[in-house]
Amino acid sequence: MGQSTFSSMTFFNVTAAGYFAALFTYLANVVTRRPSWRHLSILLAAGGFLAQAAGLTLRWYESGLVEVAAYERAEGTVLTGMHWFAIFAQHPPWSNLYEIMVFMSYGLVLVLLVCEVKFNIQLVGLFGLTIALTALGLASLTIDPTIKPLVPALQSWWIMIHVISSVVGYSAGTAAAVISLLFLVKDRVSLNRMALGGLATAVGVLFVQGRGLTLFTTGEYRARLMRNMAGEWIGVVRPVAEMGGDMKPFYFASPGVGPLMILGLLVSVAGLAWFWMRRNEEPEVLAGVGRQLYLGAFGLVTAVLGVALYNDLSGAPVMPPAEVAGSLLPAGPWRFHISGNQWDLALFFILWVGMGFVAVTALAPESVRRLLPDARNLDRAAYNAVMVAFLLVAVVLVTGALWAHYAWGRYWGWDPKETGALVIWMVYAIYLHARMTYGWVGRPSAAIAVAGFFVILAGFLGVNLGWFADGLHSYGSG
Amino acid sequence: MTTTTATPTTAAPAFSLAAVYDAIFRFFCSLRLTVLLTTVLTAGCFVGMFVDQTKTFEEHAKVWMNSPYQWKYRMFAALEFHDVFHSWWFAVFILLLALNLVACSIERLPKIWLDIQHADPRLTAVRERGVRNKAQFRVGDGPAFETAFLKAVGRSAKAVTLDEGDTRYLFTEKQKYARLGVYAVHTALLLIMFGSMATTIYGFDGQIGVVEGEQNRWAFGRGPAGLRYRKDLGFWVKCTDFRLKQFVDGAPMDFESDLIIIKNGREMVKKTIQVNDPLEFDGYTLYQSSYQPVPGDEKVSLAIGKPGQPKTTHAVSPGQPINLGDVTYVPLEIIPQYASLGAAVRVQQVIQGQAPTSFVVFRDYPDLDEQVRRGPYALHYKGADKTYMTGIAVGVVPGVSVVFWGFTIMFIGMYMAFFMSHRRYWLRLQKAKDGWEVTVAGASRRHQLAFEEEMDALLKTLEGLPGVRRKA
Repeated sequence: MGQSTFSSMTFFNVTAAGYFAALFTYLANVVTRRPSWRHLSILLAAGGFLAQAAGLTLRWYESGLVEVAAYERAEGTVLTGMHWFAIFAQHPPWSNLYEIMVFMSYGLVLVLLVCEVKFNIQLVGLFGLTIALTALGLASLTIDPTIKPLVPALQSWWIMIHVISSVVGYSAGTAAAVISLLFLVKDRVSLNRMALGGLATAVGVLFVQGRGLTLFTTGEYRARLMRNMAGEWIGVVRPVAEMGGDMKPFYFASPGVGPLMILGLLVSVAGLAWFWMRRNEEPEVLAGVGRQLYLGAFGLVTAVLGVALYNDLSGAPVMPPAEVAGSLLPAGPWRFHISGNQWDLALFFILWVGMGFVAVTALAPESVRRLLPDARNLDRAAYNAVMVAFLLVAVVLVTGALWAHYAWGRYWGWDPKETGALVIWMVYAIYLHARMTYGWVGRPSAAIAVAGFFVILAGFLGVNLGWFADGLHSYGSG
Repeated sequence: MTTTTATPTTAAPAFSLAAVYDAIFRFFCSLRLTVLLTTVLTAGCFVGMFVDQTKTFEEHAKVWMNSPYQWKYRMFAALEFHDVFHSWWFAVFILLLALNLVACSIERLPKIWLDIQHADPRLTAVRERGVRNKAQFRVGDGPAFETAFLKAVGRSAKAVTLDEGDTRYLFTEKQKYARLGVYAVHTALLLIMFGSMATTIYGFDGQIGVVEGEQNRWAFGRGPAGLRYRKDLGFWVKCTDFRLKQFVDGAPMDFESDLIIIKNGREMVKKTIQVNDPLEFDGYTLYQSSYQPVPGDEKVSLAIGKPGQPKTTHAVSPGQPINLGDVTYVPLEIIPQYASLGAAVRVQQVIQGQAPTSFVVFRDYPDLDEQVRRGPYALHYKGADKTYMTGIAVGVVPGVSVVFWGFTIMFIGMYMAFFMSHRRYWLRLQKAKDGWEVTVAGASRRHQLAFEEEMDALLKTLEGLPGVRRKA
């Protein structure tokens, strides 16, 4: 599908433009506090949403044409009537990773529009639009968008309800996390504790992305390399002999990022210690050494994101170790490219957004609080969002089990993606029980909901980030 | 202790069996335990996601044993990290969770059932303090107000009343069975746990490969520690034909196998299985799961005949000659996709006394060879038939129906718990000098905002009645 011709991609470009404009008008609303900006922003987001709905519908139509054409060529017959329709409709526009990311942004914007319009919760849109744009960016920048006929295992009606509930359920979970974060701000949780949470997240993400202790032993941050979709080799996957022939991506040091990450980790750990000792204090604004440490860590995360992105976009040369360069890699020159690294960048970006929000809150808490509705309403909205997420993740688990029973012969196989969905469900079960029995209404339950977002990230994107062994859901990975 | 001796409490001896039972029961009733167990199981799931569960213990041990940290290897071995979900401790925690669920239900369900069946209609001072939506009225005609109240709530027939001296209590509720939703979900979880336990203990999950035209009765399963073992199914699985439909680019579109089940020398079942359409026999379910070509066993079908005359079909392996007396044709190579013209085969033509020539015959254009090449014979490529080994997943899943019933009950329970809302309405009328002092109260367990609106409307209606004055 060419970029110049009119297709569903045209709609998705309009969508991205709409969301982008909505994000800026939203920021204008936050700064000027004029309701007209907010209304404009909601209108723009709604316009993007409608364009996306049209795009998804058109994509369903396009997929149907591809399916019918492929089927007719393979069979040498012409389809008619109900048979034609069955083949035409069997390929919903959420069956490969590109489409899942587009659909994910759709679900997020749907949930945030409900929060904005029905519950009148401000600032949710800022996060929702940012995450939705990240998902759209991940989709449009890097992943193979062509429509291919469905593999036999996906030719099932379960795919419809299974994927829709996972997307809306995870969107509701994300909304619950964002609303809970806003609740914590409005509820005047100690700024030291907010900073503590931000730094703990930074330590976790930097540690995981630095492949644990590898970061310290080698001093390197390793970006993933793989083949791009034009067939030009900008990276490569290799069979790992000791893994029994599994294909694993290569990782190479992205220059300059490793030392920044180490520095970021050290500053974050120092900040953690500082804030931990003062976790029971309730300062008006963040001050003293802690403020320097927090802003330092935030600056270093910004630098990590910036340098990694710069290496990818400028095509910095890759230095493969001698032993692989000779034998396993095709001849160079090797360069970094964003398509080898997109999931890492997305995770860094989400960390950056979260830390940035905490920084703004910690420096000007009253300005942020003034924008937010009553804490009780926020708490209740988060609770409702968790209930929706809990219910829909249950639908995901059950439809997944039924589908697996009929397609693979077992209803449950502890595949990483299955286990991920179960873990997300259990986190929300913990939330509901803790709320009921410990009387953990408010802050503790809000903390669980915020943590739930990272569990969703792990369960949903962990497979793509290469954290886990590949499972049967591998056709959903990039 | 400052209790008087008059209170009829039978203090239990310090170390009686009853006290021990009581302590154990209390331990299992605790919802803190639920949160703790769920957290541990979540952590276990994360371990299972990070450590590759498809490898055997030996494969993992090779890596861990060489590690300089022996404690890592010992921990790995003791906690069975290669197979977390079937490890002893995961089973123990699931069992504890099941006990926890049962104990919680024994503790709470009878009380709630009693409350559903025989609710206490009194709006006591304690209860009144705990209710947010309430109002007080000064009313001239008490009984008329009562009727109006019930009508406004919409439950005129089903109210409980109680008279105590000068005070009259009235109580009514909506969707009281919604409170059982949680227990339905818990029952469903127990069903799912026991069903899946039955699957784990008595089930079998294996693979059997059958070459087209042959039969097999030995399936391979994965046993403890990921070791493979062979299992006799007790019947033969015969594959008479395997068909693979492919898209033009060679990706699989659909595949199916014609199977015959033979037991004690007799044909028992005959069925074509497809992805998503299995065969069931003798407790086993046979699923089409994969396929694999048997190497070096490929036949090219060529229809050959004099131009304008009917053709006969020859099926030979590539490289094998088809001798027609004066001319010999040798299919050389199969081309799955020739330019964009579909499948084709390159054929060599050998005529005595002439240099051999080669040309391409297409599958999708039957008359092309006759019209374009004009050789002594016209050829049409009818396709290549590989011999395949069909890969069949063999499953015995006892308890699957229990699990699926569990799913159904779980959704009913979730609907009750999340979408229905138990709402209670109280009325307390106290006789005063010139009329009645009335308190109206309402409480809902879910959808608080909607309920607040409902109560506001209700109180407004009551306020508008003649002879009613609302107190500030």
